[in-house]
Amino acid sequence: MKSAQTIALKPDEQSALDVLFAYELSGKRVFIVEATSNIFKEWYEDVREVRDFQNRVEILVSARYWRRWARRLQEFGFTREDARVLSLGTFGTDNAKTFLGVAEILTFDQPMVNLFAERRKQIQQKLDAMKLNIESPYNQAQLPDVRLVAAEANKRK
Amino acid sequence: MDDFRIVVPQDVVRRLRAQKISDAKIRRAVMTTLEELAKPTRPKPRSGETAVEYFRRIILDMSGGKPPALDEAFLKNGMTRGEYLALGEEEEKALWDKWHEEEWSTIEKKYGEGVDVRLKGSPRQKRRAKDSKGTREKRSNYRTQARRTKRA
Repeated sequence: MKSAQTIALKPDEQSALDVLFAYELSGKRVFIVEATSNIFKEWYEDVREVRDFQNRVEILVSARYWRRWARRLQEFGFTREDARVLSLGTFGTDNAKTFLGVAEILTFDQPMVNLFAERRKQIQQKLDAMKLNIESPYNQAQLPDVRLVAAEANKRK
Repeated sequence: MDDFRIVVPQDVVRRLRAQKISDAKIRRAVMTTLEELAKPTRPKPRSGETAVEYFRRIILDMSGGKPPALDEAFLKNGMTRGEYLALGEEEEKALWDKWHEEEWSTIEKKYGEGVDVRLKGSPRQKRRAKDSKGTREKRSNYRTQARRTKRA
């Protein structure tokens, strides 16, 4: 929106556009959570920026066990919403339901990135324990990398 | 699209039947191709164009060359683009947090414990998935009539 109005972008906003642009050029699939997509639905017809953005991304759909894993992630101190997003990174899929989990989650949320990095080992152990009791293909679930959008943008410069 | 029909040439139908390809498999193949075809085509970046320049160009093209007006209605509650853009960081965050919380509740109701995933997988993965149904590491697979050790 700001770029169309020629309003100066904040560093985070600039990074988000840089990453989206770079990922598109390299053919990477970019997903957003369904909650955000639903919010955008209201704007799809009237707001060109939203229409253009929605056409560039896919929706990460909640697969089996995402809710259970989100509850367990909350035990590590993540907020309810952060836990849901992180859980989708492990137990999320596309509309065709052809994969399980994503390679990386990009966020502006520094505390979430810090907490994930700090507790990653214990989170991994918890996931490994959960995987012992669930069936295929869910027992192949993996943790995603969780990084700041700005860090990803800098890496690509 | 409910009344959209595709007529498949008889020769193709005959060959599909000869190979015993199921209707479900044919339907999936057609849907995959159609979904690929339905993906919107997007303008490519020009040489040397930055991300901001690229996205700005796209939006301007969509708006007939002019930036969207700041007094244009933006949200259903009557907020204009200008008012939305003038929100402070905290106000904007509070708005998004509220919207997200409402949507997450809807999603939890919609999916419950989540949808089932069908991984295509490599032949090895398929073998492992099949094995996990109980055929792997069965004791009877290794048992023979012969004694393992001779006893004195």
